[in-house]
Amino acid sequence: MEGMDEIVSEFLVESQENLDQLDQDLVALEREPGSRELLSSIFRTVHTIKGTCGFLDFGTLESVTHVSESLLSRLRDGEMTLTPQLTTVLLEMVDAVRSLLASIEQSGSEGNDDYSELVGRLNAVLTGARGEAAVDTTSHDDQAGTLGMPTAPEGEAEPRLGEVLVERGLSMDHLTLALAAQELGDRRPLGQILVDDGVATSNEITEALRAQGLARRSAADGSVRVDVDLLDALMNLVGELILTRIELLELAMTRQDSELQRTADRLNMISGELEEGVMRTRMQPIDSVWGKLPRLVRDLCVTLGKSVRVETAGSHTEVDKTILEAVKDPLTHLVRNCVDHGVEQPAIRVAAGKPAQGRLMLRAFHAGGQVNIEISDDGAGIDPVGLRTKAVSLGMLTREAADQLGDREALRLIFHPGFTTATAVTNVSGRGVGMDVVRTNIEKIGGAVDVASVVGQGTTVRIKIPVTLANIPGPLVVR
Amino acid sequence: MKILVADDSRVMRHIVKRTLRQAGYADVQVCEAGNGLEALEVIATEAPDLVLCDWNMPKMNGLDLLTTLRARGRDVPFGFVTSEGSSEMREKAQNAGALFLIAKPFTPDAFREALEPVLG
Repeated sequence: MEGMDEIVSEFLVESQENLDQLDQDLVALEREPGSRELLSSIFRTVHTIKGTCGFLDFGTLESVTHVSESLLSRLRDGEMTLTPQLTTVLLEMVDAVRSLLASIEQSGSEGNDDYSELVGRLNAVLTGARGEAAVDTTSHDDQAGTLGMPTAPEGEAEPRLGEVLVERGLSMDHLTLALAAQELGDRRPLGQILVDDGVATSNEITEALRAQGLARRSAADGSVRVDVDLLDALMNLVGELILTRIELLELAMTRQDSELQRTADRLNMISGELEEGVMRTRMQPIDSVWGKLPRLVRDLCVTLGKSVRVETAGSHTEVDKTILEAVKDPLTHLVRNCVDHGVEQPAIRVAAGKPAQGRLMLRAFHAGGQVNIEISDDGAGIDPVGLRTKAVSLGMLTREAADQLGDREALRLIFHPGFTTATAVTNVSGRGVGMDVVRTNIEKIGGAVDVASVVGQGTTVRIKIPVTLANIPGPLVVR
Repeated sequence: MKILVADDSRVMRHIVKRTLRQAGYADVQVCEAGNGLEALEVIATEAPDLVLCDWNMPKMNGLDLLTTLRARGRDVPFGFVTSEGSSEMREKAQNAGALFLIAKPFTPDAFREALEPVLG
């Protein structure tokens, strides 16, 4: 069929993006189970995939998403409430959709995996809920208030309606009054309050909304999708160009030709800027790697019977894509370690006077021309005394050498090959072979890793990595 | 002849455009919007002859868009292309001033049938 392949591949890309968002939304939803914004977003994703399947003739995918859509619409409309079991089955649905999409990508068809059991369970939840929730069907007016005050997801750089209006001449006092009214429980949209107060006309509000939409649109329109292979090829070409530039500069020097010298200088400058520009195209927010961690932590917690809250700061920090790829596995490993070995069982935490729920903090920031990433937990911490003893018993150090190690140095022992501290070997983090691999992988890209810990209070692993590939010796990009 | 296709899914916009071609509207110019607010802006700047609009979209849904358009005195022909095909939805759409509601998944025939009275 004409144009169908293109539609399928576009479908795969769009669904993939939506699914990553879905994972995050579902985990976030557990924290704010009532969030209509999250529920609407989750519903829309599944709804879109289901709707598209109808055209593309992906029956299995359609049946999995169809029943989930019904479930989600009940959640959205407040006819059902989210339980951890429900979240788990919905996450399973996301996984099923993901593997179906993967199969479509690889073979063009949905493959032979059977999802009827999952569909059955989703159906059971749905029919179970139908039986119970007959009374309260107050269907909330769909997306009420969107007109007045589009609720932008947090952190999204988008002008607020109020800002736009003030820019257009609304007095700050009037805006403050209207916002205060909302704070005090006035449920009218902001625009409506301003109109009712007689300080803005509905025309002005509509125009401001339009301008606000425009600002958002120009951001979306100003970007294009580029194949990473193409960027890598460009990187290599820039590399070649720079080598040639150096040759030319040398030639101009030996020829003592001032005209050639000037041209070479200009080429020197331009290729320098080109290099910088190409480097910038390869930057991605670290969020693209972090985004998957809350889901990972949730799954681990379910397996281990623990409870851990993930917090992030600086998720917009940008790093070269290749470097991000390289730190993905080490980061995942470190987070696994935190949940598995760092954070204690809820009962132990409570006995130690800590909240039952552990806390995992991910922080990223630029400093000293590098990207710093910190992974900290408020778990049991690592005891340097135990590490010294372990190192001696493993024959890595003599007793005297071990005793002479400062606490900081002793902590670094965990990065030595074959060093493991977990008393119980679990199937989550394996036998602790990870930390030396983490260190090797990070050093390979020109980074460094360090650890700090206070017994009983928690552990922080600090990673420093270069922002771009520029400073890395060796052919990382040349495949 | 210009048609605005408003849908938050890029793929669905693509499918709508393709179906338009298959339904014999190969020569129409198509502009796109990813939500109701964007659509408002595109309608103001591009003045399309017809709006084909999804129902469930972020920021501003299709019904709010239609209501806003009519409240501002814009009577651009408007039809829904949506999977919300219940009679309740159809009634809401009609009351708000929509000319038709094409339910997903649709066929080129469904497009032709709905668009012919509007575009000829």
